[in-house]
Amino acid sequence: MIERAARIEGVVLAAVALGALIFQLWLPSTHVAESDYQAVASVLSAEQQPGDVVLLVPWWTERARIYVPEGLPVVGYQGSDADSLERHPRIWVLSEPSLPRAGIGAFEKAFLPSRKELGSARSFGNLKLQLFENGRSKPLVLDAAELVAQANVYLEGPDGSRQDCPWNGGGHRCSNGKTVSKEWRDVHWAPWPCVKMEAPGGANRVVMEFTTPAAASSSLSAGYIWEYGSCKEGCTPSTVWFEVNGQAQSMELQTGDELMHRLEGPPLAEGSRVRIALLSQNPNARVVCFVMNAWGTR
Amino acid sequence: MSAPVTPAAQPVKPSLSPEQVRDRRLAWGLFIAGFLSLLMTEKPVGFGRDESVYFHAAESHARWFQQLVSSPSEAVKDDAITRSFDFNHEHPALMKNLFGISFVVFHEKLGLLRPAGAFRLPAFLFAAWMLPLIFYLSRRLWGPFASAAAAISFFLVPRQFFHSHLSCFDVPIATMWVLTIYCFVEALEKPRWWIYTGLAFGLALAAKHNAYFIVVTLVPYILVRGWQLTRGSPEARGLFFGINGVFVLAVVLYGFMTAVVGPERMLATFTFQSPQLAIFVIACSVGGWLLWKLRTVHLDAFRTLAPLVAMAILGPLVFYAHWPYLWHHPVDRTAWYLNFHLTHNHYAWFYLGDLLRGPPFPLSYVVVKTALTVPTSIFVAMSLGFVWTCWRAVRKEMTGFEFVLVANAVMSIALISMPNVPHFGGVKHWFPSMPFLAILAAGSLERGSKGLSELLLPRLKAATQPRVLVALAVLMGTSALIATARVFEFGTSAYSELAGGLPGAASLGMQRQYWANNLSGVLPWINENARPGERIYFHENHGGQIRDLQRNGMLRSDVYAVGLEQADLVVYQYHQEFRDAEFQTWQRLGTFRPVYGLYLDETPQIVIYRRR
Repeated sequence: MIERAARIEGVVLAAVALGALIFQLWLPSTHVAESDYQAVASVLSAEQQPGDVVLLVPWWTERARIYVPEGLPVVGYQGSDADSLERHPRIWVLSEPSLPRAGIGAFEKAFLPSRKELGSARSFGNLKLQLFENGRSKPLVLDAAELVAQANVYLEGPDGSRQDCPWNGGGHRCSNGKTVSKEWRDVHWAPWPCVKMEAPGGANRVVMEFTTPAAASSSLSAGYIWEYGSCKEGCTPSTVWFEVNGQAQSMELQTGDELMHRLEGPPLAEGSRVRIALLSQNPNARVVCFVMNAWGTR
Repeated sequence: MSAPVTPAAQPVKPSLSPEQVRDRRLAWGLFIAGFLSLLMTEKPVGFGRDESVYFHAAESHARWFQQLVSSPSEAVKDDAITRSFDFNHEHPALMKNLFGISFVVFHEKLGLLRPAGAFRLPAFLFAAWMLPLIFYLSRRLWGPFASAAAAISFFLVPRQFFHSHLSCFDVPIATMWVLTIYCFVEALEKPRWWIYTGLAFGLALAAKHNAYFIVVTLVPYILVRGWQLTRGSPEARGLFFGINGVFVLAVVLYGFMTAVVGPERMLATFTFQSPQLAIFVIACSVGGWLLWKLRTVHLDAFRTLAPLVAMAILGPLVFYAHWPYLWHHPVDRTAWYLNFHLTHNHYAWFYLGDLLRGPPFPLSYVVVKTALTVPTSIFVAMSLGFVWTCWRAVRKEMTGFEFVLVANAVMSIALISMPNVPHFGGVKHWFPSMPFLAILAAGSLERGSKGLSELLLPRLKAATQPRVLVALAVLMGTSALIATARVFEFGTSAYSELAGGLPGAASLGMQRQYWANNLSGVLPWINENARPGERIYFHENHGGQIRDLQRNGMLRSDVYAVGLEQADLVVYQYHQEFRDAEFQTWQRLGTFRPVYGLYLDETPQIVIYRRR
């Protein structure tokens, strides 16, 4: 028995060693040549349309950012396979299927529903480029982050009293020293173009108010920025309000919750008054990313 | 004619057998080759966050040693000591002392090495020392070639080879750990080695706090062996109980005093003339006296217990003596040091797609991380070797030496696997397990090569076991060598074939890198492309690292390290937990498009953005 075990042990060691050697010799062949990235960039430059986006597969293959033409958004974050990319009617999927654990099967499962291939895939060395029509997209009518400069921002007491937060060129600076501004920030690893707001504490709310064009639907997403979401001790939950023409809905962002949460809003009439607001008893680490959008119909 | 005069009988040193001579040459060859391999590959290895701190501390220690030579009476005063040793006193001083002295000698005085090379030289010696230690321990079980393969395999793990370059403590403590076990094993058979065991343990304590757990691996074996050996000798059995009883009683007394007066008062009153010190002195004296009596009664029992007593006595003495910072405040500063590590922070750490921020950590973390970072050919051999030894234990065939090996292979892994122990730092915190696993792997190699040889011999006459062993070792080592050669300077990013290499690990959601040393991969680009006086934000690098890069000529001296708000060039370290820094960079610099980056097997490590 011992002799048999030794033979098996020898065969296992040799087989694993051989497999490992083949892997190490093969791995460099999965690299992407700079010329291949440049070829992809040429195609994208020539064929891109307004509203297009590039989606990276696997999500972390961000070297492509260096080469993708300026102005064409590139999306790649843990979980981006399932991103609806609803602002973008067309998606360029730039993949590296030959990489180990590229996970193309899992990607297709998350990505393909409601997407339609446009034309055939093109290969550039180890890069594969395929254009898709995005069946999950909706025309964007409004992004509140683009309205920050024109919006009315103030601190509001429980009695309805208001303290203005004047615009200083970069954001609305409130009397508590905190600023409401448009910023690219991280909520659970994903980049969001946020309206960044910080809870003033106590029963006070920080409010951003603005008027909107007409839209078929609206939504508000909110979540704690970056590591603030992980705060469990010395923090209190936050309440987020989404108010359209005086009709308010709200949601709680619990302590320790690092995810983005979404409220679906009503259709908007031209000139609707929208207020988004944040409150948390303890202001410590209550920095929240708001993404308020209004959508047209497809 | 007078008879020839014969000299008085002298004790003749037994000459070495040819086998011992060969082993000695192999061991020296391993040491020299190991040392040279580190020395010759040192320059591309960047400075980790901690290493720059240790450079600074080491230089400060070196200044004190210079003062000790020039004005010793001033140097031994508490304020002079505190001035030099207060910085980074969360780690003992042995390695920093050596780094600092090496810096003064090889850089400042002789000008032979750049500052970093001079600081690192003692680390190379300690890492290279590991190889003959593994070899000699392995030789107790396996042949010379399997043992040499075990030793070499320590450097064929990319992360271990990377860490072996650094002026840090993780590889030195692993070496001191193995040295202590080596001395202990020798002490069971030879005179004087019990003293060496105590000294080696003291050096281990002086290298890093992991050393306290060496005792845990030895005590069960010592007690069982001591019990078995004294079975037929009532006098020896009495002394065995007496020696153990003295030290147990001392521990009980300390516990009792702490319970009565409280831990703070216990520490505050632990002075030179105090019951606390008296307990230690009395325990050591009585224990030592009983041990000496045991020597005359039962030599084997003495050789079993003596190393432990030496560790109990010499360990604290070496620890105290090596660290001037303790000389005037031994108790409170030791207490602070221990408390620092007992209450260490938890750092965010990415693991299988989740961010681990604090306990409880997954129980499987250490084993999974080891499997995904140790080259698979080596990891499989380690696993088979471990299973084989466990099987022998089940069949009650395990020897005492094998028990010691397995206990030490398991100790650090089991310790860090505990859900409340901090989990940051990649694999370095369980390095002390790896040499012992390498020895178990050597067994797998030897058995496997024998099995393969039996399979092949009927068809291939040249397939003798030694030849098959060498061929198998080369085959197993080649993939590991390729991996090490490709990524050793970015060792914190290395992942094994089982992970799918770096790309596979990225898809699995593993920590991409840590310690911020991968910056070295983009320095040539920065040196070539930065504008004169450019303001650069080096994300995750502290000022000490930038200072050291400029001091060693790796980064242009005319560029300035600034915060993100002032920067025109941002050097972002890709960490999943720090993505917010990259998104803020887009915001501040007005661009989403990097200008350059370090991409290892396509995985982003360092990404550079320039203000539009």
